[in-house]
Amino acid sequence: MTDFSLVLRNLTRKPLRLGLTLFAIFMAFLILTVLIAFQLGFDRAVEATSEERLVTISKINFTVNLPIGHVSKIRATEHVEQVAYADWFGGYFKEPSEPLVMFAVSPEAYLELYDELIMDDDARAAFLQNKQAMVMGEGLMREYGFKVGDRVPMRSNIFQHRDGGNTWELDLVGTFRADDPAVDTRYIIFHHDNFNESRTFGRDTVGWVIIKADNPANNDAVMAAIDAQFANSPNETSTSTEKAFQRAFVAQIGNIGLIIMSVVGAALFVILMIVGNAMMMAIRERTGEIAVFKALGFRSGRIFAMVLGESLMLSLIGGLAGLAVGAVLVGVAASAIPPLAFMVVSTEVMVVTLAVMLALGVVTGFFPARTAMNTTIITAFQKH
Amino acid sequence: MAALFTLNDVSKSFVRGSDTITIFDKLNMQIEAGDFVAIMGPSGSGKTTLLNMLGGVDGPTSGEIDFDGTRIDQLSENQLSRWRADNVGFIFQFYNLMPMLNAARNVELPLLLTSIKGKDRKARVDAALALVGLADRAKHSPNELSGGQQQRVAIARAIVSDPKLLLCDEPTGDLDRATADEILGILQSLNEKFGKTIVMVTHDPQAAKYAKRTLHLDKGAFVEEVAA
Ligand SMILES: Nc1ncnc2c1ncn2[C@@H]1O[C@H](COP(=O)(O)OP(=O)(O)OP(=O)(O)O)[C@@H](O)[C@H]1O
Ligand SMILES: [Mg+2]
Repeated sequence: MTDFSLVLRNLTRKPLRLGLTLFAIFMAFLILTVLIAFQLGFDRAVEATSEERLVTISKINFTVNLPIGHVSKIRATEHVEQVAYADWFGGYFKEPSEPLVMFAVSPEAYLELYDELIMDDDARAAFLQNKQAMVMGEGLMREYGFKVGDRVPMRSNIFQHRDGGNTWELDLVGTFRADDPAVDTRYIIFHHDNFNESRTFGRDTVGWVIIKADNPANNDAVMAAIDAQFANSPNETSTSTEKAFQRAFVAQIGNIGLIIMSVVGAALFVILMIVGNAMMMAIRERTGEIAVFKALGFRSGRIFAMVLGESLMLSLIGGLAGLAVGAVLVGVAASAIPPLAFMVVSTEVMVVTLAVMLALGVVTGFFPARTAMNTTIITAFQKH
Repeated sequence: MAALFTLNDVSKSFVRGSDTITIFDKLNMQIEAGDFVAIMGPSGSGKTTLLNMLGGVDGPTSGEIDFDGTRIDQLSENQLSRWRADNVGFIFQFYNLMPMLNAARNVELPLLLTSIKGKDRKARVDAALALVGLADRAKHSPNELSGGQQQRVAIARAIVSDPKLLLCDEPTGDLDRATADEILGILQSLNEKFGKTIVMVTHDPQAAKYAKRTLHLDKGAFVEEVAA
C-alpha cells in the first residue's frame, strides 16, 4: 500500500458520486477539446493566410462581382507587382449537398501569388497549357478517389453552361500540397478563361482580385490607390490584406472566439462548482478519518498532498477521457465536414486542455485539502 | 525504574468566549516505562485532555512534559507527527478504522510512516494480526467485523510499528463484558510480555483491574492512588 493507492481507495469509495462527477468532468472536457480545436485551428488558418497578398472585392460585398476591366487598371497602379483574379464557381460533384470549393482563376498569376502551394513542374506545365485543366489539393483527390488523367464532370449550383446544363468537363492534370498543415489545400482551381467564355451569364466579371505590391511597406498606399481609382464609379472597390479579408469574413459569421470562450467559461464554471462541492463534501465526511491519520503521525503536508492528489486524479481521469473522445469527434468532423477541415487536436490543443485539467484539479482540491490539513486531531477521540 | 513520562507543573485551560476554564492547575506526575496505568474519574474531569497531552495531540498551557528525555511540549507540529509515529499507538473507544481499507491494510497504515517495506512490512502486519487473534480476518473490511474484532484490529494497528507507548481512551466503552475482558486481556499481555507502557482511560472499575495501578482524577487533580 502506498499514498497513491490510498488516494485511489478514497476516490472510489462512493461509486455513484464518483461516476456522476467524472461524467460532468468528461462532458466539460469533451466540449472544451472540440471548441479549443475549433478556435485554435481557425486562428491558425487565418494566420496562415498572407499579410503580403491584398484582395480587392466589390465595396457592396464579396458576393458581388467586379468587371474584368478592373484587373488591368489595378495592374497599372503604382507599386503593384503582380495581379491575379478568381471567381467562385459554386461547384459540386454529383450531389449538391456535398459542395466543393472551386475557383476559376487566372492560372499563371494565381500560382505565382500562392507560392505556398507546391506542385510538380510537369503538373504545373500541364495545367497552364490546357484550358480544360484543373488541379486540386492532394488530400481532396484522395478523398474523392479521383486520379490524375481523369476527366471529371464538375457541376455548378450557380452557373449554366452555354451548351446546356450546369456541367463543366475538366481534366484533372495534377495536384498541389503545402508544407504548413494550416494552409488549406482542400480546393480546386481551373481556368477562368474557359469558365468565362462558356458561362451563360456573369461574363467578363471576376469575383475578386489578388494583388502583390512590390514591397509590403507599400501595401497601405496600394490599397488606398486602388480604392481611390474606382471611387464614385459604378463598381467601387474595397481592398484589404488577405488576412484582414479572412477576419472580416469571420466577423460576418459572428464573433466566434467570444462565443466559444463564453461557452467554455460557463461550462468550466459549472464543473468547478460541481467538482469543488463533491470534494468538499467528501472531505467533510472524512473529518474523523483525517484526524486519525494525523494521530497516527501523518504530517499535515502529506494529508494536503493526498487530498490535492485525489482532486487532480479526478480531473485527470474525467478530463483525459473527454480529451480522447473529443479528439475522435474532431477527427470525424474534420474529415466528414469539409468546412471544418481546419479543426485538429494538435499538441497545442492537448497542452491547453491538460493545463485546464490541472488547474481544475488544483482549484477544486485546494480548499478541501486545506480544510483536511487543518483538521484538529482531538476530533478523532470523539464520536463521529 | 526510569520515568518514561514526567509532567512538571502542567496547567491546561480552555478559553471559551470570555471565560477561561482551567482543567489542570500545576499537575505533576510520572509514568514509568513498562507501567500500565488506568485513569478513572467523573465525566469532565479532564481524562481525555490528559491523554491528548500525553499523546502530543494537545499541548499544555504551561508546564513541562518530558518523554524519555524529549520535551514534547516544545516540539513543532511536524516534529510531533514524527514523534507520534515513532513512539505512540492510539486505541480509541470507537475503533476508528478506515472503512475503505481491509483489516490488513488498516494495520499497515502506520508502516507508511516508516522505512519498512515489502516482505518485512507484510510480516509485521501478519504478526500484529496474529497477536490479536485475527490472522484469518486479514482481508475483511471493518463493516464485516464485530465491535470486538474491530477493536482488535485497532490494537494491531497501534502496535504494528512497535511503539513504546499505548494510549487508550475508553477502549472497551462500546463493548459487552465478555468482549471487553478479551480486549483488556490483550492489553495486559502487551504490557506484561512486550513491555508496552499503557495509559488507559476508563469508566469501568472492572477494566481498571487489569492495570498495574489506577489514578483517580477529580477536578483536575489525582485524589488517591489505588494499587491494583
Ligand atoms: N477543545 C475544548 N475546548 C473547550 N473546552 C474543552 C475542550 N476540550 C475539553 N474541554 C473541557 O474540558 C473539560 C474536560 O474534558 P475531557 O474531555 O478531558 O473530560 P473527560 O474526563 O474525558 O470526560 P468524559 O469522561 O466525559 O470523556 C470538560 O469540561 C470539557 O468541556
Ligand atoms: Mg473523555
